[in-house]
Amino acid sequence: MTWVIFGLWAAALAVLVLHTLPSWERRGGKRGAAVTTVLLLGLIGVVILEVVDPKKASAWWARVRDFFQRFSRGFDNVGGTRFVISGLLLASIALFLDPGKDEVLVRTGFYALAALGLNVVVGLAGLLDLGYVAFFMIGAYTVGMLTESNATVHPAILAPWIILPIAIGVAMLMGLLLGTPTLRLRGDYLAIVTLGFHEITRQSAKNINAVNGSRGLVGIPHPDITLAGLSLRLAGLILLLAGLGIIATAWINSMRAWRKQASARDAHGMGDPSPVPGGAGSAPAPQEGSSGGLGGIVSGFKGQFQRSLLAGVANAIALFLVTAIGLATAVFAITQLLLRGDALVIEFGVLDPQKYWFVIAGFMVVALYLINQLKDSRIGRAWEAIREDEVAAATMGIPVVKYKLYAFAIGASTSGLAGWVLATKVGFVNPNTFPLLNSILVLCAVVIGGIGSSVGALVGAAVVFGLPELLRDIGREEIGIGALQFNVLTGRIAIFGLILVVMMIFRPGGLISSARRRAELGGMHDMDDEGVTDPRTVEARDG
Amino acid sequence: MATTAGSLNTRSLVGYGATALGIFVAVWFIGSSLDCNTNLFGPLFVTGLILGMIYALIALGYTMVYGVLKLINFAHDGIFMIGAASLFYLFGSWLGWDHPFTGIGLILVLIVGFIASGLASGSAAVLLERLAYRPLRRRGAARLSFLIAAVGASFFITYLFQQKFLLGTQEHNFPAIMETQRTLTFLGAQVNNRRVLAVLVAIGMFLFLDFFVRSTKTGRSIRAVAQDLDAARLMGVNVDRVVATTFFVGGFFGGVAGFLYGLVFSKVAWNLGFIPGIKAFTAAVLGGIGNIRGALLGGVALGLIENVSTMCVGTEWKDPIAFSILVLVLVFRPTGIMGEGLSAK
Repeated sequence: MTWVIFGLWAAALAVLVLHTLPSWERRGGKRGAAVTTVLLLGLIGVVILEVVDPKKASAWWARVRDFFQRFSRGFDNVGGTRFVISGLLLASIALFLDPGKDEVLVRTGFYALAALGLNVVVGLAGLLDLGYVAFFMIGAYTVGMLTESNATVHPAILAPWIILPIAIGVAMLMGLLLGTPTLRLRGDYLAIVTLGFHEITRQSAKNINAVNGSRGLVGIPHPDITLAGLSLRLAGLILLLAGLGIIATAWINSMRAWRKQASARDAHGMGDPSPVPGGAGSAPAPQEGSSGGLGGIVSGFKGQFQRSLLAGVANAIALFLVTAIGLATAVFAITQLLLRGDALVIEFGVLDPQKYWFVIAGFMVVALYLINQLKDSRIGRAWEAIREDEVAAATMGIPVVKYKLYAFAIGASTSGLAGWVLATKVGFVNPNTFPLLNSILVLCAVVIGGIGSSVGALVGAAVVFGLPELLRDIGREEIGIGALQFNVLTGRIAIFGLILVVMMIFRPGGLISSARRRAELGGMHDMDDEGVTDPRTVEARDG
Repeated sequence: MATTAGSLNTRSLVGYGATALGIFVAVWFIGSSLDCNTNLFGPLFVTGLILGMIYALIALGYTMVYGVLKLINFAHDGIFMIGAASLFYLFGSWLGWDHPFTGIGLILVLIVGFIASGLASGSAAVLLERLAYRPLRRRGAARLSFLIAAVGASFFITYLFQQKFLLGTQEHNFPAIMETQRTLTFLGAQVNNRRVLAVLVAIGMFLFLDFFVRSTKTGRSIRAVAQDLDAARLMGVNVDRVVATTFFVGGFFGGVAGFLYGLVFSKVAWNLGFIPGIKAFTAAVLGGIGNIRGALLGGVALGLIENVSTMCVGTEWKDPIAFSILVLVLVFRPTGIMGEGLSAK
């Protein structure tokens, strides 16, 4: 049974990955999207072929590339669908892991949330923040001080979920406070100042008695959802509406996209060549008027498959999945919740990492969605301009400091969010939970995964935080001969440091990056020793 | 690297000396008139001075590299640590010079230590530049790439030494090559011979560097590159070599700082450089980044202020105070005391 579920899950993941291609394409150029996809799905075969028969290999290479170019151009950007699916996929990871690994997953999850935020600061706005975990700590301590822990000062006692926005807000506020004086300075200074800020925060936490110094705050309650007075019926109703809402959003978006495609095709004079007998509810519309109303929707839907069969199928599957999930939610709501009148209690035990992971996955999806929206907005474009040339951006009228401050504050708020989750899960916070090292490791995660790519941040977090834990058994041994013993687990930080340097030299964009980003970070010049730019190498460069 | 920016920037040694003296006296005056724990003032002042000298030596590495490349060499804290570690190995395991020396023997040992630590750190710095920064420079990489590479290098060096086959996670004792003798009393505090040595060496090195940068050809080429890299290149200066030399000099100073730190505070550890590194950078900024004399001034000023201030607030606040000074300087006078035209762009 698990294999069936796993199969469905893998299929859904493939759909999701391919679904995000249009955004890669937009940002990185067609070649970037195509090359990345090939790496994902067909690289090994072609490499083997390359060894065996190089000429045939390059012919195949070109064919594969063309195929995926057509494919990725054919994909709809059905916004809501993508995030719902990705959220479910993320959440369901917890179902496939062994019991011990759940903990690892949740811990990685905290830092993945943090990495998402740091990616906004470093990747989108170009500000190097070395003391990021300070906001993490602030979020966690805020929770500590506002719940029934052993802090000596309690401004108020509130339920954990109510504290969530407060923790985010406090972290954001501290981000603003720190950023206002320092963002006017050069990037280099900001890095050191944030480093110092982290240390100040940590040392202050250690020295202030109100938060119990180095012993920290214990006894933070878990975020149990006990909506006293809120019956299951109401929860059921909310779920029902959510399920229907998801279905509605996905379908409305899709139909809108199809209609737009149909009218675009009309504008280019490409009609619907093969009428489908007994089609989806309406006769095939005449060529000129096919962009109107239902006919437009239908012909747009059919048009997907014509452009690229795989794209059409994948789109259809995605829509089907979302509909199915929405229906399932609605049915569940109706049968289970609306018909019972009990009070709603969801407990989060300490030995219950799965529930925390669902919460984290939910936060991740929301964060991903919001960050995505930001990237495509005026703010995102301003960040890009600032990142590439601050002086030019200022000349064009962009209030540089203000937008930098936005980035900084948003980054801080994500970190505060992660701090909330950590505090409520682990139940205690003390200064030692937040060493400076973790700040640097989160930076490593962002850099390795891909500066500027949200998905990259998640991948990087998995690599930097998840992998060492999973390889813990292997890492127990020391490798090396005689005196030169190198413990891989404790030495992983040295390795990550080395990886950072090597990455900056050879692949500055990280694992998931666009060519444009790589050029931005790695420099566009190939200079020989005299400092003269060699035009041949600039052209030949993989741009 | 003196420039025309900043009102306190002086080309003359006298003006500089006056500024230094001014700070010295100011701290002394304020410190001695503070009403808390007055018996601690003397020892804190002396410790602050010594520590400040060491910060100054480390700060020089930051300030020179910044002046020439406009890059904060984060890895410099690791370079400082290498200086101390190299002597830990040299005097400890390799030569077995772990016992106190006297007379000519002592002088010899000190000279060997000086050169060895300086060379070790200097060459590490040159290697770092060659392997990590030069490829990025060649390609015109973005500032962010440099910073990230620097952070990576810093962590690589530091955590490499944390491995068991190197320093490991525990603190070690620096080889006891010198007998501790009470030499003089200053402000009611005992100052032993190690501390006197540290101060003398530091001042001597700065005086030498001042002369070097002003009067030798290499020194002038360093100044030229710091002023305008492209123009210097056009004038025939071999920029790569100048950069390497700069890293070497900065590293050498950092190495000697490690030597003196080990000598005065008797400890070596893998994370030796971490906090002093940040403080030294603060000192460099305080004095005016890119300004050699500023490094000395900033170092001494920071050392004095951070230590004397703990008279009233307690030693656990030393680090936060130092970092706060950094923020304050960057907000109110980013060019530092001696001045160097470097704020937002």
